[in-house]
Amino acid sequence: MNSFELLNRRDLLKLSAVGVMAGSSSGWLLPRVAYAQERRSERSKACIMLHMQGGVSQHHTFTVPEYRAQNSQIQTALPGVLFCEYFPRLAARMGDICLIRGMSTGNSVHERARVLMHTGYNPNGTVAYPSIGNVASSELGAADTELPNFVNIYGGSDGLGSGPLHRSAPAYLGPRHAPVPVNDPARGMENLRAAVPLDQFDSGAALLNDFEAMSQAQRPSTAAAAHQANLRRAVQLMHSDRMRAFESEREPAVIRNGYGPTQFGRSLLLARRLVEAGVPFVEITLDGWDDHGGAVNNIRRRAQYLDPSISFLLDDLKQRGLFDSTLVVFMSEFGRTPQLAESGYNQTLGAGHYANAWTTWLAGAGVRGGRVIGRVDHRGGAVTDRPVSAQDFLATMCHALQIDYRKEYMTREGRPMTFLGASARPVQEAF
Amino acid sequence: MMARHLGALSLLLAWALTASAGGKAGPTFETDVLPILNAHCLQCHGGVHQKNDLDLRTMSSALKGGKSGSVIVPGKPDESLLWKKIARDEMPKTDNKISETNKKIIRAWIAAGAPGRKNDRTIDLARPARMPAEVARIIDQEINSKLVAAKIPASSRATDAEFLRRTYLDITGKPPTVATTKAFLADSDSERRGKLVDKLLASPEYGQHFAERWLNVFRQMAVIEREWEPEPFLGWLGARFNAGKGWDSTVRDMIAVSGSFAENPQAAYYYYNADMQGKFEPKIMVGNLSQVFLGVQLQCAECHNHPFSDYKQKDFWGLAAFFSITSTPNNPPDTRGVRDRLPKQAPKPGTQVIVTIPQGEARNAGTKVRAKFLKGEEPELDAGASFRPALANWLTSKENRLFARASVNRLWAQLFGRGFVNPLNDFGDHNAPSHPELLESLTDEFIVSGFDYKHLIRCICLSEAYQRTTHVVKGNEVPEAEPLFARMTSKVLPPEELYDALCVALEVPEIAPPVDPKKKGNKKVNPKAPPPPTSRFLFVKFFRNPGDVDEPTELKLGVPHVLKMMNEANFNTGGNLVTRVMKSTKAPEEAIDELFLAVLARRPSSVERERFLAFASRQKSAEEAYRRIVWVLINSSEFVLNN
Repeated sequence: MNSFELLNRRDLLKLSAVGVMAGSSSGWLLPRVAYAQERRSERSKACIMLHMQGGVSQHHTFTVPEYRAQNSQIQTALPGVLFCEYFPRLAARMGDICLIRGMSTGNSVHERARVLMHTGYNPNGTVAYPSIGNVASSELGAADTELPNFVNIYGGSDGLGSGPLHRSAPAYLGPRHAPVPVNDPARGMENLRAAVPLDQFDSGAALLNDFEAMSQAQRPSTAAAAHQANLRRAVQLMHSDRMRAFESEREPAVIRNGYGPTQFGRSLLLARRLVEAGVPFVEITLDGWDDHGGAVNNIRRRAQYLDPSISFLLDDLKQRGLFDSTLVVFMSEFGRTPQLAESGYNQTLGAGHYANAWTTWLAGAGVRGGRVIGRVDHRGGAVTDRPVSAQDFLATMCHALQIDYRKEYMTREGRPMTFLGASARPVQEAF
Repeated sequence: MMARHLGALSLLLAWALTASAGGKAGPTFETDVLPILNAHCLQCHGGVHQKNDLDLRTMSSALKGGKSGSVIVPGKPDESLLWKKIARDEMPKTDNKISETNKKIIRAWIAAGAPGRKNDRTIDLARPARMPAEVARIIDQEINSKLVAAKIPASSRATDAEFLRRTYLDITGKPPTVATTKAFLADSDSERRGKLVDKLLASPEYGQHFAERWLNVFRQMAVIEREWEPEPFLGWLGARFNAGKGWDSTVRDMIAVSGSFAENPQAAYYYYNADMQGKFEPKIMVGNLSQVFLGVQLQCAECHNHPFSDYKQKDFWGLAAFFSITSTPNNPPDTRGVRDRLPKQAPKPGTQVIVTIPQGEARNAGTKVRAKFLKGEEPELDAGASFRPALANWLTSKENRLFARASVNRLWAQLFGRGFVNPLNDFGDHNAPSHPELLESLTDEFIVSGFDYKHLIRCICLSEAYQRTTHVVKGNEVPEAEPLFARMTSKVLPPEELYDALCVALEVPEIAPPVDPKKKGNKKVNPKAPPPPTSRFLFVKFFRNPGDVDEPTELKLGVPHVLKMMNEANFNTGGNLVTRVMKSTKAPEEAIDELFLAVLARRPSSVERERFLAFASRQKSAEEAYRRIVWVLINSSEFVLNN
């Protein structure tokens, strides 16, 4: 049996016998599920953002042009809506997906476009803007939790790089809302385990505690207080059950297999665990999408794990009752060119950067699935209906996450700032 | 000699007394009224919006009035529209109304005739530089008089151990070794502190440290963090500091440079003023250099007139004009370096150097602006040659007090954890210095010494203010004491200094990142590949969050950093320090002393010694005990801060 197969009936039975559905024999999941449900009802939404870095060719994924398609189209679960043939499982789940085909963002320079799609602004060198993840940490995160409020997982690189990974710098929101990076989902959060037996660690920590009291009593400072807060929190984390959220190896094999053995798949599994444990924003970056040499073969290869992994995530979220409170976002910095000429560099379908008409999608958190918003012409080169700007896209995410994107913050220089501008509008058709 | 100093001192005292007496006589616009207007009025009556044409940013514009005519009648508050509207809470229109206390201040100011701040100070730049001890006395006299006036007690002198570690870190960026510490603590020379400062200023580490600090300032102002080899520039800058070259000539050479990077390492400065693609942009340069070298937030005036200060778009673009024909390649190092695109034919005499406000986010796009010094003249420039030497000369001249003042303030902040003006890039009437007279006299001193950094550092380090302990005394633990320098402030070690301090403490040459067991194995070394990054580089990369700006008193480290220092093997083995102490000491008392001296550059107090001995006696072995103790000390606040 293909390990990427969806959970079939036999596995479902196995899982419920083991208690995954209602609880878990792993011991970890049972109390956490209850906690997560508790928090979910009293708290707010969470987001798993799939950041495909490099520029995803919409022509070879979710908006195949009628003219000069380089691959077959397949029917999705929504009649009349077609995907590229490489994504049959996601096609079957079109009922969960809200497809935005009218992305029109005007910036086709990698690093600048990444900033635009994360912050809503083109970088200008004078003012620094926070990314959506930082804002989510600030607005959705709990102040007192041991868990981080924004985790940035590196999902690997499968193709041509296009510059450094986007850094979500918190800007005027403050360093507390910087993301915690996870460079390898299989390793989770680094340095959580003591280098010596835990009792030895604890006795050293007790001595450190006493020493802090002795040496700092007469010289209070905010820096020392911040350092002591870090120490306390670190020790708490090391003793906390909640950090087991980072230990994906605790998942039953059938779940781990469902997400697949790739770094990207493992990133999705970790993201699900984190969101389940109460982390409000997880971003996964899969680098390497800059398919200047041709998208067909590259995307066919990537789809072999993307299609089953992402599908499994949607199913897994549903089965755990997390789908209605978790927003799943598929986005990039721009799309790729329509057919501009028969041949030539950046002239053929999907070869160059293209921000005039491209595709993203959302699912979960109350977003209406089974919808297509926006249309492009038959070549896929222009938006003929319902263009969506970067600000509108982020406003839509904020609407789903119940974040007030017009809330005012004050920078150190005394300048009032809002996450998005006055003309940002969520795409209402998505709700 | 003595008499002359006494005379100078008493003159200074007399002047200081009259200045403060004048302040008590009544409110002035700049000191008392402008902060209120800033908080309540300038959003609508400032640089960005001028409702009813009323601009309240400066005294002259406030007295000029707006569409309703004059709003202030000096001496007659009840006839002044400004007073009437504020008194009725009709203004400001927002919910942020003016308090009764502040209303009284405004009324008293109008009643006193709406006076501005008097500037009686005469600047004497013909005099020679003073002896450092004399400047130190001036520093202390000013600081102590303000402490007395505020009834806040000063903390006592730092111990020799505190002073030693502090000056080592402040001047060289590294703490002292055990041997140095023992020698200094045993030294009975009454001049040992002054001699220590001289020794450190003469060491090559001084220049390297200050160069690295400045490079971080440039890096952190840059639009994008690029991993690029800074070594040649770092070396050039370090050599300048060590040679004692005037800061004015160093900055001048950075700005006026033309030529390849290979021959002019300081051309790299332009690279830190490039856009995201690496292309040099005049507007980025102007925004950065005005903050860093002039201490003013001119970047706010790129797109619109400054909302709070009296800077217009013309001021911003007037400076940008000097860079309007400058270009750099996208990817240094490159043979071309920094160049001006000079016209092929000699331009007609009298050709103006202008820049056009570009289309984009700026207002008034299309307006042409002539090259102009900030708040100064539009110079006659040869349109056939580089314009940048003229700008560089103006910027660093003795007459441009903004430059000297901002430099002094920045150095003071580096040594004391806060400047006289904070933030360092926000000088202005709205942001009065804590010690205006002291700032001016140190500015004079910097100028007349030839912008001599070493001299200024020496003057400061000899003062009692610098030598105060970070420990509080009753009465100065309050926040009001901070701007008065009642005690030394604990300063955060930047990641470079933290790494170097760990190497010194653990007595290791480097702290290598752990090797990934999956990545072991034979790898063919490509001789053409660039050298792998150093351990120090990797440590700093991890310990400085992307986009973070170093602040002296704000700890930027978070839980991932603390977890690394607690749980990575490197920090649990005690390094070579424990190995050495195991071999060289017999009794645990001796060992614990040695560990404290190595990591914290001091001996333990008796309470600490008792506690640590008790701990050691409970451990399974001496080695385990010492390793834990080292772990405790390097993870302590005392270690990661400069006290």
